[in-house]
Amino acid sequence: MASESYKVPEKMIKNVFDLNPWYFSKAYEEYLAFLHRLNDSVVGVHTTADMRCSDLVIDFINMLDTLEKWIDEIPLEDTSEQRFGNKAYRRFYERLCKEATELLSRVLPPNTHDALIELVPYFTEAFGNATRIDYGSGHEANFLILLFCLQKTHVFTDNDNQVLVLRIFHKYLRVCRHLQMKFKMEPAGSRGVHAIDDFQFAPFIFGSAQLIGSKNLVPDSYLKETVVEANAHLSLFLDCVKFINQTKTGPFHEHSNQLWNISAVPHWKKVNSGMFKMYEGEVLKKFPVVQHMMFGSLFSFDRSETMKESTEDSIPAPHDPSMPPIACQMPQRAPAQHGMFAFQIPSVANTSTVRSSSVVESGDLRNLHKEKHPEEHCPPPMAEP
Amino acid sequence: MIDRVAENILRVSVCNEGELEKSTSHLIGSRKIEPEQWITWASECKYLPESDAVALCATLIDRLSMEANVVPVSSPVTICGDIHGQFYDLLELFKTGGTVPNTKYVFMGDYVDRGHYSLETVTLLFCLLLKYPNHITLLRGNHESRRISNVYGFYDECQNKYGHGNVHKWFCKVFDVLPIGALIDDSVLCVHGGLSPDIRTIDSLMLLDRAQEVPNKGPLCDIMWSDPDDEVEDWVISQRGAGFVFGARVTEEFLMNNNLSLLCRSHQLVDEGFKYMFGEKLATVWSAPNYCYRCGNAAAVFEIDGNKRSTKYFNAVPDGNREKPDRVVAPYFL
Repeated sequence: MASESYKVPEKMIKNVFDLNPWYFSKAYEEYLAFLHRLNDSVVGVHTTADMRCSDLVIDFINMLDTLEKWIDEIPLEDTSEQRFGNKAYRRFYERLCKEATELLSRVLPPNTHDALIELVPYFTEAFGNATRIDYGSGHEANFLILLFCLQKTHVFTDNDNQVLVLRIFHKYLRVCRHLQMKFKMEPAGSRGVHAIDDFQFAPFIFGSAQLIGSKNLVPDSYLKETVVEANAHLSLFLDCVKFINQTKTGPFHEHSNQLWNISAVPHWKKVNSGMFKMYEGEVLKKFPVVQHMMFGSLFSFDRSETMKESTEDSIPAPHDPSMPPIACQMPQRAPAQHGMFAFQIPSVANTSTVRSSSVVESGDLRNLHKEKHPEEHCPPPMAEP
Repeated sequence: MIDRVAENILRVSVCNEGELEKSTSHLIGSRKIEPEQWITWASECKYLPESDAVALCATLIDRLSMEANVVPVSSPVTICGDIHGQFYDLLELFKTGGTVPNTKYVFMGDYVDRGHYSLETVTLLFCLLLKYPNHITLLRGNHESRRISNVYGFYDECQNKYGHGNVHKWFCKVFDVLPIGALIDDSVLCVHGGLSPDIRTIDSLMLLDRAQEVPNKGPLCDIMWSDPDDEVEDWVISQRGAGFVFGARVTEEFLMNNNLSLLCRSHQLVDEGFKYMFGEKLATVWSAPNYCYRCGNAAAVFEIDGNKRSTKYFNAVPDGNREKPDRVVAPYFL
């Protein structure tokens, strides 16, 4: 690729009207496909399984190791004058910004150095925000986008997928946890008990794939702390639950209510597919997260050619006259739902309640309500039509 | 031009005239207003039957609509910050600061979202407001809005607990009319977030049309979204996506112009629960201990009695034997 085709990535999602173009962009489609490829490569594979790592992969991991050494080297600042997060994080971020190009160019093959102007911003934005000293799934996404771009520039191939997840992403996870713990980073825009986790999302996707076909571990097992301890090295999912158990206090069903709920799902396969849907719904379609995303020539905001025209009831996208109406029958996608300005209120009215691993109809919510309010003598809450 | 159009479409209607009232009209007037009974239920971490919740909201809306944007409060008073659905920690707060009506309270918003008991928390606070209007003031925070509470949990919670979204709508209508500021002894101003470049005086704060969804920009939005910062001179756009970051100079200017001694706000996690900035001209109060069950922070309430100011601290309560709920699987996983 000619060097002039690379550009410094820019933010493109400025308001809610940019969400639909994002939803139908090449970036959205290709990024999701990339995640699926990564996911599929680790189905049934333990984190500790043997796998061949190329020199490049080893260099990449060593580079992340360098970042971890910096974290150790940076002294914490006196906390008496600080609100919450330790401002010493900003020294780390400064150093990252200063040396990122150097670090990456040392690792990547020379023929990709033209792409550095596009790659570096994803790298520097993958480790949290220096102003607010926080970290969230948006930062995590930047790291995955970096890997995506590296695959698109053929630095990594599809044969590396397993290694990308279980070695490189895994190492990245360690670095981020180190940052979170040492500098007391705040969860960025977390939904609290309504989120899978305050900081990460992707390891729950990949980790649930790793457990598909497991003989002795069902989703219900991760509620037992001893089981998690004994098996955390096998799957990123359990590793994350272990980290939650170590860092959070209070009843599990409260602080990790979503994980508590998901433990009632019978199979890992279902958990895995649900994680993907949830990642789309709670991360990729949420304006507060994606407003910070950056687009360039690799992670491109251009309209995807394979995508069907949006349906009439979705948010009106600015009409692109160069696009002929496409008649092919693609499965319909729901209009983008997102945080700050919900056009359609997401309905969870169909929620079912799972009790002792049997699924009961949603009408039973009434009985739940009655149980909670035995003294109630008014008609039960009306059901939604 | 585009912006104007966007603004019109994006503006969430506070209520389509009479629509919600019509759909729940059979509930209004069908229940006696029983504040004592409701407080008893709410104190046990229970939420109200739907018709009672609607009656509670309807009564509060009637009353709050008459209030000014900035309500005057006389000391002694205890000022509290974000709660975020941490019901059991709210009970701990009352243990620390004293119960209503023995202690007079100003809460600075963010009662819902993120925590596990948003509905129960806001129910208890609203019941107390109903019974003891002169002893508790509830200000509006940025989470007391449809846009935010649809995303960060309160909506989901209402949906799960009532089986539909009507009660959430009613609560949001109360949020629309909550006052946005409290003025203590004409000397300390309490708001949720901070200042706005469009607001120079308390009088101009009084003139805002507050009975609406929190807008994306403008003074009403800034009051609930802005943050102070040591490293900023006057105004910088906030990375939160709404509101401003403001510095010491503009804070002092505002206090001087309005003859105030202190600006009190919450909106940001503080490790110790309380923090002065700008040479004790601004105070941040945070009342959600061990925020998100992980931050390990303490919480505080801030007491003002004439010229005396003091801070009381409290920590998260141990789990005790809280009831384990049934597992409800989200549609993503069905």
